[in-house]
Amino acid sequence: MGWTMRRKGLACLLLAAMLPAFGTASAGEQGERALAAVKQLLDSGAVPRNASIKVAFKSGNIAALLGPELELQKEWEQRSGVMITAKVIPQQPALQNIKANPDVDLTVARTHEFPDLLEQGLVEDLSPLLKEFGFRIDGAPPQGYVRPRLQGFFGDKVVAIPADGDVLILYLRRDLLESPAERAAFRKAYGRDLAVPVTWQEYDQLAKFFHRPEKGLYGTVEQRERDTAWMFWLPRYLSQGAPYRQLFDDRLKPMIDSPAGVAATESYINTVRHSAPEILGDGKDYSYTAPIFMQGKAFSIIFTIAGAKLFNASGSAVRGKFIAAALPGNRVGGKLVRRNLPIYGNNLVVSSQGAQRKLAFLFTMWLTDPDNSLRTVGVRGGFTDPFRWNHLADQRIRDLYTPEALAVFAKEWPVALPPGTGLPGDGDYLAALNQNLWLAASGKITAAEAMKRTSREWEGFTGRQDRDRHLAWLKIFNAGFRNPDSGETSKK
Amino acid sequence: MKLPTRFGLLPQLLLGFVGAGMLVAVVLWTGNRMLERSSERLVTTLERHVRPLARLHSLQSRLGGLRNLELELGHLDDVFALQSQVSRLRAEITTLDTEIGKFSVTLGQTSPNEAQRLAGHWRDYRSRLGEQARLAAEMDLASVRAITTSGSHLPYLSIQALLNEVAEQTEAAADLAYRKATDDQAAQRWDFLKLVLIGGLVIFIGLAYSGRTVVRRIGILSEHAQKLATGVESGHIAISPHDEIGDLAQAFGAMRQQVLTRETALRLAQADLERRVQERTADLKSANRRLVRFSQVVEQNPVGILVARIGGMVEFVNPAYCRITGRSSDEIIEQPLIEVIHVADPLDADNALRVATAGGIWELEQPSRRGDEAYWERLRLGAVLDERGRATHLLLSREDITEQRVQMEKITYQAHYDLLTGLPNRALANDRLLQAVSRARRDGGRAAAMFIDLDNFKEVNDTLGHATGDTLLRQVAQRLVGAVRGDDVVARLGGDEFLIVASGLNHGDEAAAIAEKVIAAFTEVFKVDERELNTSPSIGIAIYPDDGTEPTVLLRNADLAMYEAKDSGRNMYRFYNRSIHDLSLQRLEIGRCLRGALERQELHVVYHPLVRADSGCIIGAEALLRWNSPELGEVQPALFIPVAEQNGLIVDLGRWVLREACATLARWRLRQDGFVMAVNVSPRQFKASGFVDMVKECLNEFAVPPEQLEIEITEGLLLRNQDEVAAILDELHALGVRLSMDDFGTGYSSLSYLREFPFHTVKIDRSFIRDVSEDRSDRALVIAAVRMAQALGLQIIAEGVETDEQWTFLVGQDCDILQGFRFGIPVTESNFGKTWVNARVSRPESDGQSQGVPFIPV
Repeated sequence: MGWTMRRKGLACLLLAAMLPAFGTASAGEQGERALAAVKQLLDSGAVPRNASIKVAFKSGNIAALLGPELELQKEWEQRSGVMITAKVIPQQPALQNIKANPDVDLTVARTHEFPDLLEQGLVEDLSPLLKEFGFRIDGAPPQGYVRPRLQGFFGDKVVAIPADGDVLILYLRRDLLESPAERAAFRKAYGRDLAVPVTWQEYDQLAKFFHRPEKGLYGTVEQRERDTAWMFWLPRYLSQGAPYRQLFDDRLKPMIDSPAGVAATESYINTVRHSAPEILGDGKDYSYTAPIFMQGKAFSIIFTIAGAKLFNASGSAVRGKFIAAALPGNRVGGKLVRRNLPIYGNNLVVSSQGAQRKLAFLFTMWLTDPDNSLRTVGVRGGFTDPFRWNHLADQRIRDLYTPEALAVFAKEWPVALPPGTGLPGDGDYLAALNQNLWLAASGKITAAEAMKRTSREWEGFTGRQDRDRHLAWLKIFNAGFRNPDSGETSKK
Repeated sequence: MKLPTRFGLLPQLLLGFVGAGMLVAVVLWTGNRMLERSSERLVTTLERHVRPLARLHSLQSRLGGLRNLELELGHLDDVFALQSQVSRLRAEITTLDTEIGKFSVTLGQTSPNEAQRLAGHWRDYRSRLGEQARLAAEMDLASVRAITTSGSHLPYLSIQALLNEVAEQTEAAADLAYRKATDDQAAQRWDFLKLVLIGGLVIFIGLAYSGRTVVRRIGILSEHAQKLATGVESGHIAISPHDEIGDLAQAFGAMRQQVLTRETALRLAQADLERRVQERTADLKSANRRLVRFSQVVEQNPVGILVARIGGMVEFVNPAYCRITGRSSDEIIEQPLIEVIHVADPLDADNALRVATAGGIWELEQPSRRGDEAYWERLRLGAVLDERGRATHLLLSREDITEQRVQMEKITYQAHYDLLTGLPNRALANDRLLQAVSRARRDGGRAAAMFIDLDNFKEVNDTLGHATGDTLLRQVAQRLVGAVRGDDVVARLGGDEFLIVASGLNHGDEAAAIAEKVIAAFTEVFKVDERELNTSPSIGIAIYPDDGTEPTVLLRNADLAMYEAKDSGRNMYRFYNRSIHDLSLQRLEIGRCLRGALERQELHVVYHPLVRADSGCIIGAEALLRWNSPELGEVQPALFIPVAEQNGLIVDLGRWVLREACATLARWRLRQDGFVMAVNVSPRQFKASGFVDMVKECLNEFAVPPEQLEIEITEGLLLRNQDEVAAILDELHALGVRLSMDDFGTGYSSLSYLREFPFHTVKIDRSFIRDVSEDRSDRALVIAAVRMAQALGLQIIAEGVETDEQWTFLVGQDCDILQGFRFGIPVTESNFGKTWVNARVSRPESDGQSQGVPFIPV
């Protein structure tokens, strides 16, 4: 027994000594090391041989994360010997899903949900596991994760392993922009050349110009349904200040009841006039707006990089007729300030209540390996979009998304900021904002009233909390705005 | 003579088996061929008809799946899922196109018309599905749904109907072929059965013939064997010798002859053997009875016994051994003795074996453990000798002597410790003090003996009982132990006396610090049975070498110092010093001189007048003892009375005073009717045996009316042994003697005493009268005492009256009798007789002047 223990100890030492040397992932290597670590856990008896990983994904995630025909799941099970039990969970916040499924080891969460999950201790801090198994969350090209500190970190804690990249991109009709007749008409009307808009005012101008519902063309079909309102309002608000406009001051007082907040809100509600008639309807999300653009019935849309995949698909009326452009911004002090953010993001989180947290973590490292992840990104019918720099260079993905759209995608990440409020109870804060934005967009209240109401409700939420604790959370969140991304690594 | 042809059993058996085997093989081979052919025909029939059915079923399933995909397509509300669904739909169309093409070719061979119809319907359905896929890719789901509802529905149903029709035809053909094949198989099976029956019959006949021949001959042989076994004579064995059974018959005949011869010899030997067995059995029974007795002795012996081979293993342990050691016999038997002897020191074990092997006896008493239980045991190891005196085994006895040890330790403990408090007793305290002195002598340091006596403890013990007193002593012991240093020794010398032995001192002040901590430890009240009790320590300290170099001297001097502390007011400590020593010597000197003083007529009685308060009339006197020693001069009663009380002389002195007083009273009562003589009686005298008889004797001897004699006792007397005191008081009361409580107010001043005991008079102590003019509280007490006495019908005497103001006040309070220097000092009998008997003192006027007999200064 003594020799066995010594032998196991020696093996652990060797593994521990070797792993840091290979800490930076290269193609295929990350996945192989994850498999080796699983084998070590099984051989040492630290994990029972019959252990299985319980994963819970939303319906669209199953194929996207486990591969077409579950081929990645099959390969993992064959190579690691660890079974995966998958279940489908509804489209609802990760907080509710994890609470409702306490036996699940691995699931997905959106970036703005991290504070709530951390505050309630529902997800595992992955930093110790990264250290134990010698992995690094590398953000450097050509292999690294795209902006991992933005997508996977909260403060110094590694909350999730990024598995999706969802910054916003502006899609425009190339054929209309380049039409001599349209260009002439635009110059006549506005006294300037018809071009890709760089400010939100220009974007609104173009939407107005091309809005011709009688001819079956809407100026824009940017989403305006209630539940996702904050996603399209926040880029407008964040770019109201340089380097960005904060939601709260350093004492947690909301800053949105201000000219900047009203301006962002007015920009947000202006598009309604130039959009499809049912754009404010509940549930009219991208599944409503994207087909309109795809059928050539809209001049513009703001959507994630997944839009390029849809619009470039066979059967799309706008295939070869659209361009992807950077998100507009605002001019502050004579300089253009552009801000973007990851609005959805299917990041992999390990439930702190799961029985096989180590195996779940190793599975995420295997799944997000540079090579393995190429097999999940761009799966038709899946949500997963590029999240590693090597994805942008892969020919199959380039054909799927178009090289131009991927170039814009790469350009948008440096101006991206953390989404949401960064506070525990983020869902409540955003729900209040969504409701008031929707009321304003519906014409039931003014933009100023929307900001005033939201500010008051936010102060109410904050007042019911431990203010000092909230301030601590805000401090960590704000630090995320300042952190550079290139070459980021997990703490060793 | 021609010998019969020999044909052995083995050739016969071989021939029979070969014949039967060949017959079985032929039957089986023929049957197998028949069944194989039948099965092949059945399988071929099934394959020809079931496979097309399976393909048909697969085709129908895939077609149904395709229709489901089509139906779902129009109702997807997620754009990403829509893309995926289109891909699946297209893939499924391609797959089904191939499948239907192959099936049509097969179908065309049997039903060309149906094959043509199927291809036509499929082309129609496929084109509509393609259109749906195209529209879905363009997100035109409304058009997709329209085609699903009206366009593709009919072609789909047509294909399904056609496929169902083909399936029904195929099933009917398959059913017919299957029935024919099963009929053929049944006929083949019946043929095979007939073949098996014929073969079995042939084998049976052959076996029956061979068996009958062999069985008959073996029967003859068996009959002769049975006769031999039962001792019956039998004749010639008629079996022909042409095979092995014939050989066996001949051998059996020879063996029969030999058996008969040996049987005779065996019968003789058996008779001899039975006789010897009976003798040996008797011997064994006798030995066994002895062995059982011995075994019972060993088994039931309360001493544990273990027997081991010399240099070998343990062979035996009795139950007592297992019970004492807590080990089972399985754990001990066949173990080396050295490993089971279990002594603390391995050298002891070696020594034990050496001593015992050499013929000696090794013994040891040691503490041991039995599981979690500790116990004491006595071990004894010796050799067991055989008949020739050689040591063959070792005998280890093991005895549990825990009870003896406990008793011994208990005795030792009781000899050195106080059972009530658990503190060292006087003997151990003396030993510790001796150690402390030795250490101080060796180190050039100091040691202290601190004698502690509890104040008021006796009152607690007497009033609340011994149980309460004992509890208080235990609490006191705890506080003392808590107050001293770790190395100091606290002991109980007896009663309420404790001793602290403090060693390692550099200066006497360190002992003072300990004493102060002890006094401080008593500041908090003690709680016994929910009752709060107060007691305090009086501490006397003697320091080695300043106050003595021997423990006995230190103890005595500490005791003296303790008395000094008591006399100084209690609850304090005093170091032994010269004055204490001197006082002690003085007491000794007084005691020495007091002995024989009576005989030497150094003692005399003086009398102090008792004055009626309202009239100033003298109503009696109090007899007081005085001592004029030739060596010591006039000795104050306060000095010699306690010494007399202490050494017991008070009993004789008291008797003499009583007799003197009675003699005087006998004379004065003739001059003044009703004259009362008050005599103080000390506690020791009061409780001395024969006190009441002595009073009675005096009354009789001097013919004094008992009501003119007043016995004064102090309140403290009532605190102890109340039953005994009450009995004496009752007897005195029965004599008619007046009883007075002296010094009222200085003790407990208990109303219950006055009510329960038959007192006639209460004497208020002089300390209250002295300040009655200035002190309101004293005044209040005097008033209360007077009222109380009046209420109980008692007479009040106020002692210590020195001024007219006091007299006036007391008269105002209806006090009965007065006594004090206001009326004069105690005087001798002759002076009193001249001055006071039948006299009267003038009462003070309102201006403070007296009337009658003038004031006699002290």
